[in-house]
Amino acid sequence: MLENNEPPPDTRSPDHEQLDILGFSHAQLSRDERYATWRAYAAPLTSGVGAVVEDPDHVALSIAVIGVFADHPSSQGLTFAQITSGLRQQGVDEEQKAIERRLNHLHREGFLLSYLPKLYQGRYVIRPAGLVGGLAAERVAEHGGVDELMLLLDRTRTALSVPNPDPVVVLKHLNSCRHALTVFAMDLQRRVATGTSAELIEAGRQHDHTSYTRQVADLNSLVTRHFSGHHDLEDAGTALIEAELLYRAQVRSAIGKVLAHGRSGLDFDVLTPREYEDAAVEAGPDALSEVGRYLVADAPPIYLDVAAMMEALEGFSPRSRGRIRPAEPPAPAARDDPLTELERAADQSRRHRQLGMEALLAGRNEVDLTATMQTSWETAVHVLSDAMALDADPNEPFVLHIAEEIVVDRDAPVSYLHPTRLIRTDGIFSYTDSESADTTQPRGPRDD
Amino acid sequence: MTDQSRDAALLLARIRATGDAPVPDQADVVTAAAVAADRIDRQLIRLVDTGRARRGDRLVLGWTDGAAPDPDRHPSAPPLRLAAVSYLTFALCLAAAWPTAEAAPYPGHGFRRSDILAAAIQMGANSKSVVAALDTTLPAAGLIAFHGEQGVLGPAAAALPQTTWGELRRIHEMLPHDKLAAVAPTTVPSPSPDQTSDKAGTRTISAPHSRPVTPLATSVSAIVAVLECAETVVDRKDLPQLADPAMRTAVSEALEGCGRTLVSVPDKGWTTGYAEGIADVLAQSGHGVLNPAERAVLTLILLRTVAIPRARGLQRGDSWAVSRTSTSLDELVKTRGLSRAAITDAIRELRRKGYVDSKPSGGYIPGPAFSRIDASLRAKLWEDLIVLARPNGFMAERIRARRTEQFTTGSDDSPRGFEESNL
Repeated sequence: MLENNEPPPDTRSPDHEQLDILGFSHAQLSRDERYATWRAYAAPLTSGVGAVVEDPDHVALSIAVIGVFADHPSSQGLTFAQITSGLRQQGVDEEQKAIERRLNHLHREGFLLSYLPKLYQGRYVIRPAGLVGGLAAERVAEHGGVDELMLLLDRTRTALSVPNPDPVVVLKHLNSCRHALTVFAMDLQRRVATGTSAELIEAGRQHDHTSYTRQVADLNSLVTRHFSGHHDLEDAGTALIEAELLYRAQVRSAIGKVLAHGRSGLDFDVLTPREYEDAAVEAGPDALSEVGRYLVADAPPIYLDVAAMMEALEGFSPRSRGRIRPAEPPAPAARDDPLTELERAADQSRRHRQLGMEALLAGRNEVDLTATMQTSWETAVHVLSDAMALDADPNEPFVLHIAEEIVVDRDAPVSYLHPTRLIRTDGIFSYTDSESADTTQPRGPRDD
Repeated sequence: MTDQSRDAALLLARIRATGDAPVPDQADVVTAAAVAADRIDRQLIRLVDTGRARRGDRLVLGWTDGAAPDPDRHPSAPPLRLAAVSYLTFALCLAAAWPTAEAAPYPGHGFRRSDILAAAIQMGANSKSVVAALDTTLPAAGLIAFHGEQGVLGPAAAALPQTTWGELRRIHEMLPHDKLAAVAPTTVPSPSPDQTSDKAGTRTISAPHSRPVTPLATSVSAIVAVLECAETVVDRKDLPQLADPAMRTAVSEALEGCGRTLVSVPDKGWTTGYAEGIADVLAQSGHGVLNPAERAVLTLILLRTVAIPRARGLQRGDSWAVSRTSTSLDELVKTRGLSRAAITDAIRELRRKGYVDSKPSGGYIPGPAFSRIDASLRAKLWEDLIVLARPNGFMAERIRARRTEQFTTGSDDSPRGFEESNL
């Protein structure tokens, strides 16, 4: 467990730490930061203000020129046109004039040397010092010069590794290491006191390597072994340890502040995206499962929706594999002769029509059906068909009279129709009202 | 807070985390828990051990009559529901365990997993989905439990509101009894002697003194019911009462007795989480914690949806639950040492526990449970990912040193007044 102060199992390579330091990308560094770094880096070499380029792309172009010479080795150097073509192939999209200006500058400053010492010879090679300068400029901008600490330690260790190490050289290297450590410690102290959160994060990235302490301790052991009793060197070794302690204290302070900022705002830019991506691919299950040991399930109880359960049941009814014949209709019950049934049905229909017309007559011998038929087309069809059927039946005492004139009313539900009258011909009713009495007539010949 | 109240809060929090808890030896703790639960219209239900599980009597948290939340009242935060196949599977389990509507549904009869599986497939359900429901979804929800091939209704079934059981009783004849009989006409087990014993079943543990029913108390219990049952954060406009400080205080006090706390999610609304120190005690006791495979998969999801986008400056904020970037199964399987099947299983569990969610457009994102964790847990999670991504750096060293120091001096964020032994 992390609480036990034991590092989680790391399935990555032992060189992972070193890769961390070298794995920073340009994108993490602001242009201003790089410009400030280069100005400080070049200050010992320049005589006036403004000698350092402000645009990092100019430095990148110089690095790209080195790549062009590596990709297109020529026995007699390259022309500006060939260099430009190579730059285009590398994806450089600067304007032609800008590239020419930059190449002319590199030539004037000796970065590009004429292959032959002739004026306007026009073919160039790179001076190795220029190559080193370009690479160093890139490195110092990426890591803020922290690489130099490692380099100095390596050089000192190398000086101690020869059969008979020169105490003067070793002392010089030890002092160089101490000076560098002290300068970095002071810079960190300033950043902790006055720096912004972004600056501290940047410092935290650059100095977040723990092997440095071990390397300084190893170096001190080497010094003690080779120069036991050599007071100057032993003192230098001790001073180096003290400087490392000071540096380490400042690193801790900076990282403590970064952690305080980071954990409150979930700032993940304290590391590079690459480091998280590597962890997502390369970390083993054991390392991954060290995260979130204290998370406890906090899910609400399931809401059992009975209606949804019934819907699910209905949705999962068994599926039929073929067409199913519909159910056979029930067998007819024992009935009378079908013709008798038919006659009975016809009688029933006639009876319904009769009752309907009787209702319209309302006890009178004659009625005007026009108003009733005007209520709707459906009613008109129904009334007319029933009345015509009764009129056609010689056994029925009804006569239907349809006038020749036509009544047209655009706004009425039945927009046009002939005035129609239904007359009872058996005269079984006698009414006192004049209209009914006048219209009551015996069944006569049809006028249709 | 008295010792009894703290122990009662831990007990109720454990029931929240794991679904049930053994009955403590101290009767006063049970009584205190019943009183705290009564304040939010909940009640402790004792599940009398029938001998099948051999776990002793257990406690679950049920609802007082008529207090179950209305799922349609707060549309911004619907409760957690089952998928159709899970409903179908549970209906089959219910039909097998509860053959007659007149009988008490819990603990009911035992049933065989193979019978349920066969009947569900016969009804047209996808076999993989049914297996997932039988093996993961329903047992994890506590609705059923298996002892080998033999299944029984789970503790969550016993805790269902009486209104739900009333509805189930009304539609009892519509449960798929015939489908079960078709696949296993003779093998449906009859009740065993211990299942039919008088002791088996549930016992409601009522608070000794019912609280007075006041408008404030009614509002508090209604708000708590909504917050505790909502799957996600409840919109502020759905709970306008919480704009009143007095109401917030009353809700917080009611929740505190249950080991819970009111959480305000900036720009979103309200939810609940474990009270300070409670989650640590539960985690140290191993109650409700994620298993290693779930933690590993959750870490991968957090790396891809939160850490990497934020390291690239694509998103900001101090919440784990807000992520515009999602990840896919294909991305997750790029990791070493975890198979696709293991990742899929872990994701299913993480979704149920609320730690993983899906975007409507597809892809996995951190789930709503991250809204429930407090600031100290949020920070610890961030530190864990820093240690994972650069295990040998100064930052990792500092984090480990700080945690060790806190652990040895007892000055960390963990348990204030809570003791693991109480669980």
